[in-house]
Amino acid sequence: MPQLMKNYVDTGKLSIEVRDFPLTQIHTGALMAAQAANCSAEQGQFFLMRKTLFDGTANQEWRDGSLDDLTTFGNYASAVGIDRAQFESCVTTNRHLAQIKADMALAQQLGINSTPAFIINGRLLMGAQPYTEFAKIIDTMISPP
Amino acid sequence: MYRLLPILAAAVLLSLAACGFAPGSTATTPNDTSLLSERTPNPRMIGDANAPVKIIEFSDYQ
Repeated sequence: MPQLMKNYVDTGKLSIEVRDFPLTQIHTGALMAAQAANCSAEQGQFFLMRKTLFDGTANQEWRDGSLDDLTTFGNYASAVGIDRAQFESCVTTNRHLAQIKADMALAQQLGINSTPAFIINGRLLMGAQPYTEFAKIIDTMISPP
Repeated sequence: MYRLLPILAAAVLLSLAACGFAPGSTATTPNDTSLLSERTPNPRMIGDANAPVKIIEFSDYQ
């Protein structure tokens, strides 16, 4: 979210960390996508791959974690400038699967059952939110009334 | 061989202590901070790790 980046992250007031909660029951390609993102993190392109994956699913470029999707993700890897062979090896060997499952277990432990979900300094916020909602919460946490 | 057992036992105890265990200690439930800790540096994070506010986003990709 550009406004959060500009007003809070770039000014040192906020950090944002992404964890995985692929809803595998309804989104059959989400687990492989999470692996693709984490394998891109190995090569320093987590956020660019994440955006590419979101854009790709919006454009229906990938769907169910099939071999075709793996090829698509490999194309994404090339597009974001990382080593494709290393990336594909990482995905196909499930190198980050344990970490993703740990994130999923943590989400469930925290009472999260849908995405997106946000933990803001320990406070749970469920669902997509407008910038103004984040700004209100962050401002209150930085300067309590 | 048996003379080495006390030394081995001491080494094991020291290793356990270094890992945060101690004889007789009870399991504790990790608080949210420890649950949410991540490796450093964290490639899935943007912004200053010491920022006063931290958002952890749980996301799906579809």
